[in-house]
Amino acid sequence: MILEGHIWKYNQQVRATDLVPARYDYIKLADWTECSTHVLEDLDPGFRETMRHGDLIVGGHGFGAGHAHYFQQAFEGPRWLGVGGYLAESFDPIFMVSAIGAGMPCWTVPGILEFVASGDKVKCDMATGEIANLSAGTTFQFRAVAREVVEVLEAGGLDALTVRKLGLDATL
Amino acid sequence: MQMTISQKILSAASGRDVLPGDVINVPVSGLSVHDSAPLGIFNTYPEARVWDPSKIVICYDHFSRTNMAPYHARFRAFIRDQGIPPENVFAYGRQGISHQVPGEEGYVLPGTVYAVFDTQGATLGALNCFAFTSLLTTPSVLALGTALVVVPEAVDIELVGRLSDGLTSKDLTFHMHAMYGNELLGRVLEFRGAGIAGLSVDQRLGIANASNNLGALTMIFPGDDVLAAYLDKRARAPYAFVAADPGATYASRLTIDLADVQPLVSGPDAIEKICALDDVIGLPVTAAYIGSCSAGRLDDLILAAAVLDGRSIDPSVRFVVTPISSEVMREASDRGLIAKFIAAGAMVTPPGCGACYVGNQSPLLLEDDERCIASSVSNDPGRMGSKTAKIYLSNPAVVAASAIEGRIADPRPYLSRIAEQVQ
Repeated sequence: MILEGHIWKYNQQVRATDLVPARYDYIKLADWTECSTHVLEDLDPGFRETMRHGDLIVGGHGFGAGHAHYFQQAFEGPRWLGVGGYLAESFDPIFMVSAIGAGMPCWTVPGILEFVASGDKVKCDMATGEIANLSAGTTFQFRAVAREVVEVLEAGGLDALTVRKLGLDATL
Repeated sequence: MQMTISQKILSAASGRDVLPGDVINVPVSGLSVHDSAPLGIFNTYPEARVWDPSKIVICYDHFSRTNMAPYHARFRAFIRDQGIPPENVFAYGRQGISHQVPGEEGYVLPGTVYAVFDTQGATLGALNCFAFTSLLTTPSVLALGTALVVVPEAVDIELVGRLSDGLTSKDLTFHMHAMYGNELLGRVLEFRGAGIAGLSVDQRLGIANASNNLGALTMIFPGDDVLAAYLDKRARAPYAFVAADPGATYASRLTIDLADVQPLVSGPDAIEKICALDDVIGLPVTAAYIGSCSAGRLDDLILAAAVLDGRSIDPSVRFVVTPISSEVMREASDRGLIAKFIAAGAMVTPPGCGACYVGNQSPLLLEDDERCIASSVSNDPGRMGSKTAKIYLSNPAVVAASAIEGRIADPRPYLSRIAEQVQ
Protein backbone atom coordinates (compact mmCIF):
# COMPACT_ATOMS: atom_id res chain seq x y z
CA MET A 1 0.00 0.00 0.00
CA ILE A 2 1.87 3.04 -1.29
CA LEU A 3 0.81 6.64 -0.72
CA GLU A 4 2.51 9.28 -2.82
CA GLY A 5 1.73 12.96 -2.80
CA HIS A 6 2.45 16.40 -1.46
CA ILE A 7 2.12 17.22 2.21
CA TRP A 8 -0.39 19.63 3.70
CA LYS A 9 0.80 19.95 7.27
CA TYR A 10 -1.16 21.46 10.15
CA ASN A 11 0.79 21.69 13.42
CA GLN A 12 -2.29 21.13 15.51
CA GLN A 13 -5.09 18.72 16.24
CA VAL A 14 -7.11 18.49 13.03
CA ARG A 15 -10.65 17.74 14.19
CA ALA A 16 -13.37 16.09 12.12
CA THR A 17 -15.16 19.41 11.85
CA ASP A 18 -11.95 21.07 10.61
CA LEU A 19 -11.90 18.63 7.69
CA VAL A 20 -15.49 19.52 6.82
CA PRO A 21 -17.24 22.12 9.01
CA ALA A 22 -20.21 20.96 11.11
CA ARG A 23 -22.51 23.48 9.40
CA TYR A 24 -22.50 21.15 6.40
CA ASP A 25 -24.29 18.10 7.79
CA TYR A 26 -24.13 15.41 5.11
CA ILE A 27 -25.18 12.44 7.18
CA LYS A 28 -28.65 12.51 5.63
CA LEU A 29 -27.69 13.76 2.18
CA ALA A 30 -24.61 11.65 1.48
CA ASP A 31 -23.80 13.97 -1.41
CA TRP A 32 -20.05 13.62 -1.28
CA THR A 33 -19.38 15.63 -4.43
CA GLU A 34 -20.99 18.67 -2.85
CA CYS A 35 -19.33 17.81 0.46
CA SER A 36 -15.92 17.79 -1.21
CA THR A 37 -16.32 21.50 -2.06
CA HIS A 38 -16.11 22.37 1.66
CA VAL A 39 -12.94 20.46 2.63
CA LEU A 40 -10.78 22.44 5.09
CA GLU A 41 -12.93 25.46 4.31
CA ASP A 42 -12.23 27.16 7.65
CA LEU A 43 -8.77 25.84 8.51
CA ASP A 44 -7.19 26.39 5.09
CA PRO A 45 -9.48 28.14 2.60
CA GLY A 46 -6.91 27.88 -0.21
CA PHE A 47 -6.55 24.12 0.04
CA ARG A 48 -9.21 23.05 -2.46
CA GLU A 49 -7.90 25.31 -5.22
CA THR A 50 -4.29 24.19 -5.05
CA MET A 51 -4.27 20.59 -3.79
CA ARG A 52 -3.40 17.82 -6.23
CA HIS A 53 -4.79 14.32 -6.45
CA GLY A 54 -3.15 12.04 -3.91
CA ASP A 55 -1.97 14.79 -1.59
CA LEU A 56 -1.73 13.89 2.07
CA ILE A 57 -3.06 15.79 5.09
CA VAL A 58 -0.80 15.72 8.14
CA GLY A 59 -1.82 16.73 11.65
CA GLY A 60 -0.93 16.47 15.32
CA HIS A 61 -2.41 14.36 18.07
CA GLY A 62 -6.04 13.22 18.12
CA PHE A 63 -6.59 13.65 14.38
CA GLY A 64 -10.29 13.37 13.48
CA ALA A 65 -11.63 13.82 17.03
CA GLY A 66 -15.04 15.31 17.58
CA HIS A 67 -18.61 14.10 17.59
CA ALA A 68 -18.77 10.93 15.54
CA HIS A 69 -21.85 12.28 13.76
CA TYR A 70 -19.42 14.34 11.63
CA PHE A 71 -16.88 11.58 10.96
CA GLN A 72 -18.19 10.23 7.68
CA GLN A 73 -18.17 13.58 5.92
CA ALA A 74 -14.68 14.22 7.33
CA PHE A 75 -13.20 11.41 5.27
CA GLU A 76 -15.69 11.05 2.39
CA GLY A 77 -15.45 14.76 1.44
CA PRO A 78 -11.65 14.76 1.26
CA ARG A 79 -11.62 11.33 -0.39
CA TRP A 80 -13.95 12.53 -3.16
CA LEU A 81 -11.76 15.59 -3.58
CA GLY A 82 -8.78 13.31 -4.16
CA VAL A 83 -6.96 13.45 -0.82
CA GLY A 84 -4.78 10.35 -0.64
CA GLY A 85 -4.71 9.81 3.11
CA TYR A 86 -4.11 11.15 6.59
CA LEU A 87 -0.87 10.93 8.56
CA ALA A 88 -0.85 12.11 12.17
CA GLU A 89 1.00 11.94 15.46
CA SER A 90 -2.06 10.04 16.70
CA PHE A 91 -5.68 9.54 15.69
CA ASP A 92 -9.04 9.46 17.34
CA PRO A 93 -9.44 5.67 17.33
CA ILE A 94 -13.08 5.63 16.23
CA PHE A 95 -12.41 8.11 13.45
CA MET A 96 -9.40 6.09 12.34
CA VAL A 97 -11.22 2.77 12.17
CA SER A 98 -14.21 4.39 10.43
CA ALA A 99 -12.01 6.05 7.82
CA ILE A 100 -9.98 2.91 7.17
CA GLY A 101 -13.21 0.95 6.97
CA ALA A 102 -14.30 3.28 4.18
CA GLY A 103 -10.98 2.79 2.40
CA MET A 104 -9.36 6.08 3.43
CA PRO A 105 -5.75 5.46 4.51
CA CYS A 106 -4.85 6.65 8.03
CA TRP A 107 -1.44 6.09 9.51
CA THR A 108 -0.22 6.90 13.00
CA VAL A 109 3.33 8.20 12.54
CA PRO A 110 4.87 9.57 15.75
CA GLY A 111 7.31 12.31 14.71
CA ILE A 112 5.66 13.07 11.38
CA LEU A 113 5.34 16.79 12.18
CA GLU A 114 9.16 16.95 12.46
CA PHE A 115 9.84 14.83 9.43
CA VAL A 116 7.84 16.65 6.77
CA ALA A 117 7.02 20.22 5.80
CA SER A 118 4.06 21.49 3.82
CA GLY A 119 4.71 21.09 0.12
CA ASP A 120 7.16 18.20 0.50
CA LYS A 121 6.60 15.30 -1.84
CA VAL A 122 6.64 12.01 0.04
CA LYS A 123 6.33 8.33 -0.77
CA CYS A 124 4.93 6.18 2.03
CA ASP A 125 4.92 2.40 2.10
CA MET A 126 2.36 1.57 4.74
CA ALA A 127 3.16 -2.15 4.71
CA THR A 128 6.90 -1.73 5.37
CA GLY A 129 6.74 1.51 7.39
CA GLU A 130 9.18 3.39 5.16
CA ILE A 131 8.53 7.02 4.37
CA ALA A 132 10.75 8.72 1.80
CA ASN A 133 10.71 12.52 1.80
CA LEU A 134 11.49 12.99 -1.89
CA SER A 135 11.84 16.78 -1.52
CA ALA A 136 14.32 16.60 1.37
CA GLY A 137 16.02 13.45 0.12
CA THR A 138 15.58 11.67 3.43
CA THR A 139 14.07 8.34 4.37
CA PHE A 140 12.78 7.21 7.71
CA GLN A 141 11.52 3.97 9.08
CA PHE A 142 8.30 4.09 11.11
CA ARG A 143 6.12 1.41 12.65
CA ALA A 144 4.46 -0.38 9.74
CA VAL A 145 0.69 -0.41 9.45
CA ALA A 146 -0.98 -3.55 10.78
CA ARG A 147 -1.61 -6.34 8.28
CA GLU A 148 -5.32 -6.11 9.18
CA VAL A 149 -5.40 -2.48 8.03
CA VAL A 150 -3.48 -3.03 4.81
CA GLU A 151 -5.87 -5.87 4.01
CA VAL A 152 -8.87 -3.55 4.38
CA LEU A 153 -7.29 -0.72 2.36
CA GLU A 154 -6.17 -3.00 -0.45
CA ALA A 155 -9.67 -4.45 -0.69
CA GLY A 156 -11.02 -0.89 -1.05
CA GLY A 157 -12.73 -0.82 2.34
CA LEU A 158 -14.29 -3.05 4.93
CA ASP A 159 -17.53 -3.68 3.05
CA ALA A 160 -15.68 -4.91 -0.02
CA LEU A 161 -13.43 -7.09 2.14
CA THR A 162 -16.44 -8.52 3.99
CA VAL A 163 -18.24 -9.30 0.75
CA ARG A 164 -15.12 -11.08 -0.48
CA LYS A 165 -14.73 -13.02 2.78
CA LEU A 166 -18.35 -14.14 2.59
CA GLY A 167 -17.94 -15.10 -1.05
CA LEU A 168 -20.93 -12.97 -2.04
CA ASP A 169 -19.42 -11.47 -5.17
CA ALA A 170 -17.14 -13.43 -7.45
CA THR A 171 -15.71 -10.24 -8.95
CA LEU A 172 -14.22 -9.09 -5.61
CA MET B 1 2.44 -9.78 31.23
CA GLN B 2 0.82 -7.40 33.72
CA MET B 3 -2.28 -5.99 32.02
CA THR B 4 -4.80 -3.18 32.23
CA ILE B 5 -8.52 -4.08 32.26
CA SER B 6 -8.88 -3.27 28.56
CA GLN B 7 -5.80 -5.33 27.65
CA LYS B 8 -7.17 -8.30 29.59
CA ILE B 9 -10.57 -8.14 27.94
CA LEU B 10 -9.22 -7.63 24.41
CA SER B 11 -6.53 -10.28 24.88
CA ALA B 12 -9.04 -12.85 26.13
CA ALA B 13 -11.42 -12.13 23.24
CA SER B 14 -8.79 -12.10 20.50
CA GLY B 15 -6.79 -15.05 21.81
CA ARG B 16 -3.45 -13.28 22.01
CA ASP B 17 -1.78 -10.76 24.30
CA VAL B 18 -2.39 -7.31 22.89
CA LEU B 19 -0.42 -4.10 23.29
CA PRO B 20 -1.51 -0.50 22.76
CA GLY B 21 -1.30 0.41 19.08
CA ASP B 22 -2.06 -3.12 17.89
CA VAL B 23 -4.87 -3.31 15.35
CA ILE B 24 -6.99 -6.38 15.94
CA ASN B 25 -10.02 -8.05 14.43
CA VAL B 26 -11.66 -8.87 17.72
CA PRO B 27 -14.70 -11.17 18.06
CA VAL B 28 -17.54 -9.35 19.80
CA SER B 29 -19.89 -10.95 22.33
CA GLY B 30 -22.79 -8.95 20.95
CA LEU B 31 -23.83 -6.01 18.81
CA SER B 32 -26.61 -3.50 19.37
CA VAL B 33 -27.97 -1.50 16.47
CA HIS B 34 -30.69 1.13 16.40
CA ASP B 35 -33.51 1.84 14.02
CA SER B 36 -31.59 4.10 11.66
CA ALA B 37 -28.47 1.96 11.39
CA PRO B 38 -27.08 1.57 7.87
CA LEU B 39 -27.34 -1.98 6.63
CA GLY B 40 -24.82 -1.47 3.84
CA ILE B 41 -23.88 -4.77 2.23
CA PHE B 42 -27.11 -6.35 3.49
CA ASN B 43 -29.01 -4.05 1.15
CA THR B 44 -26.69 -4.79 -1.75
CA TYR B 45 -26.51 -8.53 -1.13
CA PRO B 46 -29.83 -9.80 0.26
CA GLU B 47 -28.32 -13.27 0.54
CA ALA B 48 -25.78 -12.02 3.12
CA ARG B 49 -26.40 -13.46 6.59
CA VAL B 50 -25.59 -11.98 10.00
CA TRP B 51 -22.97 -13.96 11.92
CA ASP B 52 -25.26 -14.96 14.79
CA PRO B 53 -28.85 -13.65 15.03
CA SER B 54 -29.02 -14.44 18.75
CA LYS B 55 -26.14 -12.04 19.49
CA ILE B 56 -27.79 -9.05 17.84
CA VAL B 57 -30.01 -6.63 19.74
CA ILE B 58 -32.20 -4.16 17.86
CA CYS B 59 -33.31 -1.03 19.71
CA TYR B 60 -35.74 1.50 18.35
CA ASP B 61 -34.64 4.88 19.67
CA HIS B 62 -34.07 7.47 16.95
CA PHE B 63 -37.48 7.32 15.27
CA SER B 64 -36.14 9.23 12.31
CA ARG B 65 -38.37 12.07 11.15
CA THR B 66 -38.07 11.61 7.41
CA ASN B 67 -39.64 8.74 5.51
CA MET B 68 -39.99 6.83 8.74
CA ALA B 69 -42.68 4.35 7.77
CA PRO B 70 -41.04 2.90 4.64
CA TYR B 71 -37.69 2.76 6.37
CA HIS B 72 -39.06 0.91 9.39
CA ALA B 73 -40.81 -1.58 7.13
CA ARG B 74 -37.49 -2.35 5.44
CA PHE B 75 -35.85 -2.65 8.81
CA ARG B 76 -38.49 -5.09 10.07
CA ALA B 77 -38.01 -7.14 6.92
CA PHE B 78 -34.28 -7.29 7.65
CA ILE B 79 -34.96 -8.47 11.21
CA ARG B 80 -37.36 -11.18 9.97
CA ASP B 81 -35.15 -12.32 7.09
CA GLN B 82 -32.10 -12.65 9.32
CA GLY B 83 -33.96 -14.59 11.99
CA ILE B 84 -33.14 -12.17 14.78
CA PRO B 85 -35.22 -13.43 17.74
CA PRO B 86 -38.24 -11.23 18.53
CA GLU B 87 -37.15 -11.03 22.18
CA ASN B 88 -33.97 -9.25 21.02
CA VAL B 89 -36.01 -6.57 19.25
CA PHE B 90 -36.90 -3.62 21.47
CA ALA B 91 -39.44 -1.76 19.39
CA TYR B 92 -42.75 -0.04 20.12
CA GLY B 93 -43.59 -0.30 23.82
CA ARG B 94 -40.26 -1.91 24.65
CA GLN B 95 -38.09 0.69 22.94
CA GLY B 96 -35.16 2.51 24.40
CA ILE B 97 -31.71 3.76 23.57
CA SER B 98 -29.45 1.21 21.92
CA HIS B 99 -26.63 1.60 24.46
CA GLN B 100 -28.92 1.44 27.49
CA VAL B 101 -31.38 -1.36 26.77
CA PRO B 102 -28.79 -4.15 26.20
CA GLY B 103 -27.46 -3.37 29.69
CA GLU B 104 -30.90 -3.29 31.29
CA GLU B 105 -31.78 -6.54 29.59
CA GLY B 106 -28.65 -8.40 30.65
CA TYR B 107 -27.06 -8.90 27.23
CA VAL B 108 -23.93 -7.00 28.23
CA LEU B 109 -21.67 -8.75 30.71
CA PRO B 110 -18.45 -7.82 32.52
CA GLY B 111 -15.30 -8.98 30.79
CA THR B 112 -16.80 -9.01 27.30
CA VAL B 113 -16.27 -7.00 24.12
CA TYR B 114 -19.56 -5.35 23.18
CA ALA B 115 -20.15 -3.36 19.99
CA VAL B 116 -22.82 -0.72 19.44
CA PHE B 117 -23.56 1.01 16.14
CA ASP B 118 -24.38 4.32 17.85
CA THR B 119 -21.60 6.87 18.35
CA GLN B 120 -22.13 6.73 22.12
CA GLY B 121 -21.65 2.97 22.40
CA ALA B 122 -18.88 3.35 24.99
CA THR B 123 -21.61 4.12 27.52
CA LEU B 124 -21.90 0.43 28.38
CA GLY B 125 -18.29 0.42 29.66
CA ALA B 126 -19.91 1.25 33.01
CA LEU B 127 -20.64 -2.48 33.19
CA ASN B 128 -16.95 -3.53 33.41
CA CYS B 129 -16.74 -4.45 29.74
CA PHE B 130 -14.98 -3.14 26.64
CA ALA B 131 -17.87 -1.36 24.93
CA PHE B 132 -17.32 0.77 21.86
CA THR B 133 -19.01 2.15 18.78
CA SER B 134 -18.56 0.11 15.63
CA LEU B 135 -20.10 3.09 13.81
CA LEU B 136 -19.65 2.84 10.03
CA THR B 137 -17.99 -0.56 10.25
CA THR B 138 -21.25 -1.99 11.64
CA PRO B 139 -22.38 -3.89 8.50
CA SER B 140 -19.08 -5.77 8.56
CA VAL B 141 -19.50 -6.58 12.29
CA LEU B 142 -23.04 -7.79 11.59
CA ALA B 143 -21.70 -10.11 8.92
CA LEU B 144 -18.49 -11.38 10.51
CA GLY B 145 -18.96 -10.96 14.28
CA THR B 146 -15.56 -9.33 14.49
CA ALA B 147 -14.63 -5.67 14.77
CA LEU B 148 -11.56 -3.74 13.74
CA VAL B 149 -10.20 -2.14 16.94
CA VAL B 150 -7.06 -0.13 17.57
CA VAL B 151 -5.93 -1.22 21.05
CA PRO B 152 -5.84 2.05 22.96
CA GLU B 153 -3.40 3.24 25.57
CA ALA B 154 -5.01 3.27 28.99
CA VAL B 155 -5.33 6.04 31.55
CA ASP B 156 -5.72 5.06 35.19
CA ILE B 157 -8.20 7.36 36.92
CA GLU B 158 -8.60 7.13 40.67
CA LEU B 159 -11.86 8.63 41.92
CA VAL B 160 -11.97 9.72 45.55
CA GLY B 161 -14.53 11.66 47.60
CA ARG B 162 -18.18 12.29 46.77
CA LEU B 163 -20.04 14.49 44.30
CA SER B 164 -21.86 17.37 46.01
CA ASP B 165 -25.66 17.07 46.18
CA GLY B 166 -27.35 18.01 42.94
CA LEU B 167 -24.31 17.28 40.77
CA THR B 168 -24.18 14.41 38.31
CA SER B 169 -22.05 12.63 35.73
CA LYS B 170 -22.59 15.68 33.54
CA ASP B 171 -20.61 17.96 35.88
CA LEU B 172 -17.90 15.36 36.42
CA THR B 173 -17.31 14.76 32.72
CA PHE B 174 -17.25 18.51 31.98
CA HIS B 175 -14.74 18.80 34.83
CA MET B 176 -12.62 16.07 33.20
CA HIS B 177 -12.89 17.83 29.85
CA ALA B 178 -11.79 21.17 31.29
CA MET B 179 -9.00 19.71 33.45
CA TYR B 180 -7.51 16.99 31.28
CA GLY B 181 -8.76 17.49 27.70
CA ASN B 182 -6.01 16.29 25.41
CA GLU B 183 -4.56 13.84 27.93
CA LEU B 184 -7.56 11.58 27.34
CA LEU B 185 -7.58 11.64 23.52
CA GLY B 186 -7.77 8.26 21.87
CA ARG B 187 -7.37 6.42 25.15
CA VAL B 188 -9.39 4.06 27.29
CA LEU B 189 -10.10 5.50 30.74
CA GLU B 190 -10.06 2.87 33.46
CA PHE B 191 -11.52 3.90 36.80
CA ARG B 192 -10.74 2.72 40.29
CA GLY B 193 -10.88 4.13 43.80
CA ALA B 194 -13.09 4.66 46.82
CA GLY B 195 -15.16 7.33 45.08
CA ILE B 196 -16.76 4.79 42.75
CA ALA B 197 -18.89 3.19 45.48
CA GLY B 198 -20.83 6.46 45.80
CA LEU B 199 -21.71 6.51 42.09
CA SER B 200 -24.85 4.65 41.02
CA VAL B 201 -24.75 2.55 37.84
CA ASP B 202 -26.90 5.28 36.26
CA GLN B 203 -24.18 7.83 36.99
CA ARG B 204 -21.44 5.49 35.76
CA LEU B 205 -23.31 5.01 32.48
CA GLY B 206 -23.62 8.80 32.23
CA ILE B 207 -19.88 9.18 32.79
CA ALA B 208 -18.86 6.53 30.25
CA ASN B 209 -21.29 8.18 27.81
CA ALA B 210 -18.90 11.14 27.60
CA SER B 211 -16.12 9.03 26.05
CA ASN B 212 -16.81 10.28 22.56
CA ASN B 213 -17.01 13.91 23.65
CA LEU B 214 -13.71 13.57 25.50
CA GLY B 215 -12.12 11.94 22.45
CA ALA B 216 -11.55 8.74 24.43
CA LEU B 217 -12.23 5.40 22.77
CA THR B 218 -14.11 4.14 25.80
CA MET B 219 -14.15 3.97 29.59
CA ILE B 220 -14.25 0.94 31.88
CA PHE B 221 -15.53 0.87 35.44
CA PRO B 222 -14.43 -1.89 37.79
CA GLY B 223 -16.78 -4.48 39.24
CA ASP B 224 -18.14 -3.92 42.73
CA ASP B 225 -21.21 -4.61 44.89
CA VAL B 226 -23.16 -1.77 43.26
CA LEU B 227 -22.63 -3.24 39.79
CA ALA B 228 -23.28 -6.79 41.04
CA ALA B 229 -26.63 -5.63 42.45
CA TYR B 230 -27.49 -4.05 39.08
CA LEU B 231 -26.62 -7.21 37.17
CA ASP B 232 -28.48 -9.47 39.58
CA LYS B 233 -31.65 -10.69 37.82
CA ARG B 234 -30.49 -9.05 34.57
CA ALA B 235 -27.39 -11.00 33.47
CA ARG B 236 -28.28 -13.63 30.87
CA ALA B 237 -25.17 -15.71 31.59
CA PRO B 238 -22.63 -16.16 34.38
CA TYR B 239 -19.88 -13.55 34.41
CA ALA B 240 -16.73 -12.56 36.26
CA PHE B 241 -15.46 -9.06 36.96
CA VAL B 242 -12.13 -8.07 35.43
CA ALA B 243 -9.58 -6.01 37.37
CA ALA B 244 -6.23 -4.58 36.31
CA ASP B 245 -2.99 -6.24 37.39
CA PRO B 246 -0.99 -4.25 39.94
CA GLY B 247 1.92 -3.82 37.54
CA ALA B 248 -0.15 -2.88 34.49
CA THR B 249 1.26 -0.11 32.30
CA TYR B 250 -0.79 3.07 32.01
CA ALA B 251 -0.02 6.01 29.73
CA SER B 252 -0.87 8.30 32.62
CA ARG B 253 -2.43 8.25 36.07
CA LEU B 254 -4.87 10.82 37.41
CA THR B 255 -6.69 11.31 40.68
CA ILE B 256 -9.99 13.16 40.71
CA ASP B 257 -11.55 14.25 43.99
CA LEU B 258 -15.28 14.23 43.28
CA ALA B 259 -15.73 16.87 45.98
CA ASP B 260 -13.77 19.31 43.77
CA VAL B 261 -16.39 19.12 41.01
CA GLN B 262 -18.53 22.25 40.69
CA PRO B 263 -21.70 22.83 38.62
CA LEU B 264 -20.53 23.30 35.04
CA VAL B 265 -22.12 24.20 31.73
CA SER B 266 -20.92 23.49 28.20
CA GLY B 267 -21.68 25.66 25.21
CA PRO B 268 -22.85 27.12 23.08
CA ASP B 269 -21.74 25.58 19.76
CA ALA B 270 -18.85 23.45 21.07
CA ILE B 271 -18.61 20.82 23.77
CA GLU B 272 -15.19 22.01 24.89
CA LYS B 273 -16.54 25.48 25.73
CA ILE B 274 -16.99 24.76 29.43
CA CYS B 275 -17.71 27.35 32.10
CA ALA B 276 -18.98 27.59 35.67
CA LEU B 277 -22.74 27.60 36.00
CA ASP B 278 -22.41 30.97 37.78
CA ASP B 279 -20.99 32.51 34.58
CA VAL B 280 -24.15 31.90 32.56
CA ILE B 281 -26.86 32.26 35.21
CA GLY B 282 -29.62 34.60 34.05
CA LEU B 283 -29.34 33.98 30.29
CA PRO B 284 -32.95 33.69 29.05
CA VAL B 285 -33.99 30.29 27.62
CA THR B 286 -37.09 29.34 25.66
CA ALA B 287 -36.40 25.63 25.29
CA ALA B 288 -35.33 23.02 27.81
CA TYR B 289 -34.70 19.31 27.41
CA ILE B 290 -34.05 16.45 29.81
CA GLY B 291 -33.23 13.15 28.19
CA SER B 292 -30.77 11.38 25.86
CA CYS B 293 -28.20 8.68 26.47
CA SER B 294 -26.23 11.18 28.51
CA ALA B 295 -28.86 11.99 31.12
CA GLY B 296 -32.28 10.37 30.66
CA ARG B 297 -31.90 7.71 33.36
CA LEU B 298 -33.90 7.22 36.53
CA ASP B 299 -31.32 9.06 38.68
CA ASP B 300 -31.58 12.05 36.35
CA LEU B 301 -35.38 12.05 36.41
CA ILE B 302 -35.47 11.74 40.22
CA LEU B 303 -33.18 14.75 40.53
CA ALA B 304 -35.13 16.84 38.02
CA ALA B 305 -38.44 15.91 39.64
CA ALA B 306 -37.07 16.98 43.02
CA VAL B 307 -36.34 20.43 41.59
CA LEU B 308 -39.72 20.68 39.85
CA ASP B 309 -41.81 19.23 42.67
CA GLY B 310 -44.94 21.38 43.09
CA ARG B 311 -43.61 24.17 40.87
CA SER B 312 -44.59 25.31 37.40
CA ILE B 313 -42.31 25.95 34.50
CA ASP B 314 -42.18 29.39 32.92
CA PRO B 315 -44.95 29.47 30.28
CA SER B 316 -42.54 30.89 27.70
CA VAL B 317 -40.37 27.74 27.89
CA ARG B 318 -40.96 24.61 25.79
CA PHE B 319 -39.85 21.91 28.17
CA VAL B 320 -39.53 18.30 26.99
CA VAL B 321 -38.63 15.24 29.05
CA THR B 322 -37.73 11.94 27.34
CA PRO B 323 -36.89 8.87 29.46
CA ILE B 324 -34.01 6.84 28.07
CA SER B 325 -35.89 3.53 27.91
CA SER B 326 -39.21 1.84 28.51
CA GLU B 327 -37.89 0.38 31.77
CA VAL B 328 -36.98 3.85 33.01
CA MET B 329 -40.36 5.21 31.84
CA ARG B 330 -42.21 2.50 33.77
CA GLU B 331 -40.13 3.04 36.89
CA ALA B 332 -40.50 6.84 36.66
CA SER B 333 -44.24 6.37 36.28
CA ASP B 334 -44.46 3.99 39.27
CA ARG B 335 -42.57 6.48 41.42
CA GLY B 336 -44.82 9.39 40.45
CA LEU B 337 -42.07 11.27 38.64
CA ILE B 338 -43.94 11.47 35.33
CA ALA B 339 -46.93 12.99 37.14
CA LYS B 340 -44.64 15.64 38.62
CA PHE B 341 -43.22 16.54 35.21
CA ILE B 342 -46.67 16.82 33.70
CA ALA B 343 -47.97 18.83 36.65
CA ALA B 344 -45.08 21.26 36.21
CA GLY B 345 -45.99 21.78 32.55
CA ALA B 346 -43.46 19.55 30.82
CA MET B 347 -44.16 17.50 27.70
CA VAL B 348 -43.16 13.90 28.43
CA THR B 349 -42.48 11.92 25.27
CA PRO B 350 -42.15 8.19 24.62
CA PRO B 351 -38.69 6.81 25.44
CA GLY B 352 -35.81 7.18 23.01
CA CYS B 353 -33.20 9.69 21.89
CA GLY B 354 -35.80 12.46 21.82
CA ALA B 355 -34.81 16.06 21.14
CA CYS B 356 -31.05 15.44 21.29
CA TYR B 357 -30.77 15.28 17.52
CA VAL B 358 -32.65 17.23 14.87
CA GLY B 359 -33.12 14.13 12.71
CA ASN B 360 -35.32 12.46 15.32
CA GLN B 361 -39.05 12.79 15.71
CA SER B 362 -38.59 15.57 18.21
CA PRO B 363 -41.18 18.06 19.39
CA LEU B 364 -38.39 20.49 20.23
CA LEU B 365 -36.90 21.64 16.95
CA LEU B 366 -35.05 24.81 17.89
CA GLU B 367 -35.77 28.04 16.06
CA ASP B 368 -33.26 30.58 14.75
CA ASP B 369 -31.32 32.28 17.55
CA GLU B 370 -33.28 30.44 20.23
CA ARG B 371 -31.42 29.54 23.42
CA CYS B 372 -31.88 26.05 24.85
CA ILE B 373 -30.64 24.35 27.99
CA ALA B 374 -30.37 20.58 27.69
CA SER B 375 -28.95 17.56 29.49
CA SER B 376 -28.14 15.84 26.21
CA VAL B 377 -24.97 14.89 24.38
CA SER B 378 -24.02 17.50 21.86
CA ASN B 379 -24.30 21.24 21.29
CA ASP B 380 -22.85 21.50 17.79
CA PRO B 381 -24.64 24.16 15.69
CA GLY B 382 -27.77 22.67 14.14
CA ARG B 383 -27.79 19.68 16.45
CA MET B 384 -31.32 20.33 17.78
CA GLY B 385 -32.78 22.43 14.97
CA SER B 386 -31.68 25.79 13.58
CA LYS B 387 -27.96 26.26 13.06
CA THR B 388 -28.20 29.64 14.78
CA ALA B 389 -29.86 28.28 17.93
CA LYS B 390 -27.59 28.25 20.98
CA ILE B 391 -27.47 25.02 22.99
CA TYR B 392 -26.09 24.95 26.53
CA LEU B 393 -25.58 21.57 28.17
CA SER B 394 -25.86 20.97 31.91
CA ASN B 395 -27.03 18.44 34.46
CA PRO B 396 -30.81 17.79 34.65
CA ALA B 397 -31.26 19.78 37.89
CA VAL B 398 -29.97 22.91 36.13
CA VAL B 399 -32.29 22.23 33.19
CA ALA B 400 -35.28 21.87 35.51
CA ALA B 401 -34.46 25.02 37.48
CA SER B 402 -33.94 26.93 34.21
CA ALA B 403 -37.30 25.74 32.89
CA ILE B 404 -38.95 27.10 36.06
CA GLU B 405 -37.27 30.49 35.81
CA GLY B 406 -37.13 30.96 32.03
CA ARG B 407 -33.41 31.65 32.28
CA ILE B 408 -30.38 29.57 33.17
CA ALA B 409 -30.73 29.05 36.90
CA ASP B 410 -29.00 27.47 39.88
CA PRO B 411 -31.00 24.49 41.16
CA ARG B 412 -29.31 24.40 44.56
CA PRO B 413 -31.79 26.71 46.33
CA TYR B 414 -34.64 24.39 45.24
CA LEU B 415 -32.77 21.31 46.32
CA SER B 416 -31.67 22.75 49.67
CA ARG B 417 -35.27 23.60 50.56
CA ILE B 418 -36.15 19.98 49.91
CA ALA B 419 -33.25 18.87 52.10
CA GLU B 420 -34.55 21.15 54.89
CA GLN B 421 -38.05 19.70 54.56
CA VAL B 422 -36.67 16.20 54.79
CA GLN B 423 -34.80 17.09 57.97
